[in-house]
Amino acid sequence: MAKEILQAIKECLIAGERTQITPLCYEALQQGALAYEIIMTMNEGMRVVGERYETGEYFLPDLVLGGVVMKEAVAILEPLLALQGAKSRGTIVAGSVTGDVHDIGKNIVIAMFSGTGFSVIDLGINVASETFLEAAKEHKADIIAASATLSTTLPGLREVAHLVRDCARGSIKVLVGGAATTQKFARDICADGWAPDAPQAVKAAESLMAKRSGDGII
Amino acid sequence: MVSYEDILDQEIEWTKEKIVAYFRDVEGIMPAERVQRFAEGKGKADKIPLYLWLADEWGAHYNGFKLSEICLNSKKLVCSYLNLCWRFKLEMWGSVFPYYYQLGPSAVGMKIEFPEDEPPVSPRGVVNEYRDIESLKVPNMRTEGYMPYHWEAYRIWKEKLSDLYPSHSTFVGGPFDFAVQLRGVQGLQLFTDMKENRELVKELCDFSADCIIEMAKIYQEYGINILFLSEVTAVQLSPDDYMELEFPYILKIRDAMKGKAIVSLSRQKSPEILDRIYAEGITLMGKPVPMVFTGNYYQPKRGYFPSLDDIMRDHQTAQEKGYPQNIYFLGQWLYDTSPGEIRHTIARVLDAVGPTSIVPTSIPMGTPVESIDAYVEAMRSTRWTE
Repeated sequence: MAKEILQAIKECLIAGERTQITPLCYEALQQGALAYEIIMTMNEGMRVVGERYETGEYFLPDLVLGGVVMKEAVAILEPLLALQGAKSRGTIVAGSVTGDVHDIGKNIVIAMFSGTGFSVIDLGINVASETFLEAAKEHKADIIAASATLSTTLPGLREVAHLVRDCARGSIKVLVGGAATTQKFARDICADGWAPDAPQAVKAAESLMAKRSGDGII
Repeated sequence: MVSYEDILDQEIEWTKEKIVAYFRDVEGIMPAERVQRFAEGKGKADKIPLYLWLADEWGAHYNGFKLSEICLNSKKLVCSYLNLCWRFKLEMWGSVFPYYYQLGPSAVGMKIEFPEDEPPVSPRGVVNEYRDIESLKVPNMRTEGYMPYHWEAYRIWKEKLSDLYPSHSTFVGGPFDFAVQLRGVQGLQLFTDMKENRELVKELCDFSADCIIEMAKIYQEYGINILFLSEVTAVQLSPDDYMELEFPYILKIRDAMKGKAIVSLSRQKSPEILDRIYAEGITLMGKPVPMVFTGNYYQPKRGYFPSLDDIMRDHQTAQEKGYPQNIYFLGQWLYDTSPGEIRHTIARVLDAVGPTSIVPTSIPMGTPVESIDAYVEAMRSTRWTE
């Protein structure tokens, strides 16, 4: 029974059915599913959404809806994760850099990080580079994920990358993204990773966790 | 005592005089004439006319203004753009308010914040609940919101500069993008509505089209008959969604403009959709406009930049069908590309397709002046002949 509900949750996410997700999550929990299991199931659904987006079958509204559905579910499931003894896959401090007030892309990425088992500290928008570093140290974060939507705010990303390089090189990885960024820019500022969109951001975070001692941009 | 406003007026006058003298005495041809000859393909060997569309942010900094100053002082906007025309010896006027997507919605009641030196932002829409749409009324587009700043800029241009730089076009957010602003751009709530309340989306797009029509009527008073409907969000729709949620409202605007031109900046690549757009006369000067686009956002499987093959193919189509042959590099190409790459790309494209107008739109603050110079020099190095 729980398997059927989990499948329904996955399909719900793929179809972007926000209204169905909350009752389905509660039903799955009642049937004995663990919060972590539900999140992993949604993760599979989100991977399908990401793949379909990459192949051109899905479009941005589908990706946004997937993020919205996942965010609603994670709001219910996240408090249960610790109670049920689930282990986080890593801790990510995320936000938009100084001067950047855009949160759409950042929110989608955060929803996907959360949905894929990462603990995420959302610092919001217009975040100073020092705040990124302080929050990362306070929460013992593995990754700082910083975004810049406008080219005018790219210097903020450079600041974050350089501050981490100077003060916490090796212990904290820097993952950058956002509409204004390119892989070349990420390389130029010595970021550890770059992602052009939300599905790729999850992959990049996974790779960074797997290669924490490695060097170079992914 | 001379006021600062008077000084700006003088600056506009003097800059105009310098430009007139330069073109008359050095180039031997006035900007409007060069544009006209190039468009008609007539005349002696000459330079390709240039303009820097959507370079207002860059122009503000070049002239020592904060971005908020040119957003809220029309004279500073015109003054700074005119100085760009002088600096790069441009032949065309391409100034648009940096917040043109938010201008129309501001008349409906959307608040805009103007950080001192950052692009304006709208944290919230005006349709927060579905029921809010019932109270929406098409506002007076002449007087509401930030529209008066907009019209003041057009008044200055028309009175003082239209003889030097005739302009026939402007940018307006398309109906879907207008609706996105009304519903709140930060969360892209309209995307969720597409799934959960499609009728609301249609109603909002229809309302948005009515607002754009009201703006269009005033543009026409200033002699602006070509509206480029910008679609930064609508381009993200699937072809089916585009045809349902954007295209009918573009047609509504087209019909209301009674034969005046509107151009959809659609990046839909589906041949059937492009044929529909062309068939409905969504055109520039009565002809469909082939455009080559690049975006500053990642397009999976499509890359960041059209290939030379794509550009060649589009250009060939343009020649076969007799369309105007403009190539637009959207996004922030000049910002992201080195001067060397810019020279190389312009040379390759011009070499492949012949003398053609290549327009890099959106030139944000922070774009190196060397990059703009590289573009201008590369374009100037090609001559066209009859």
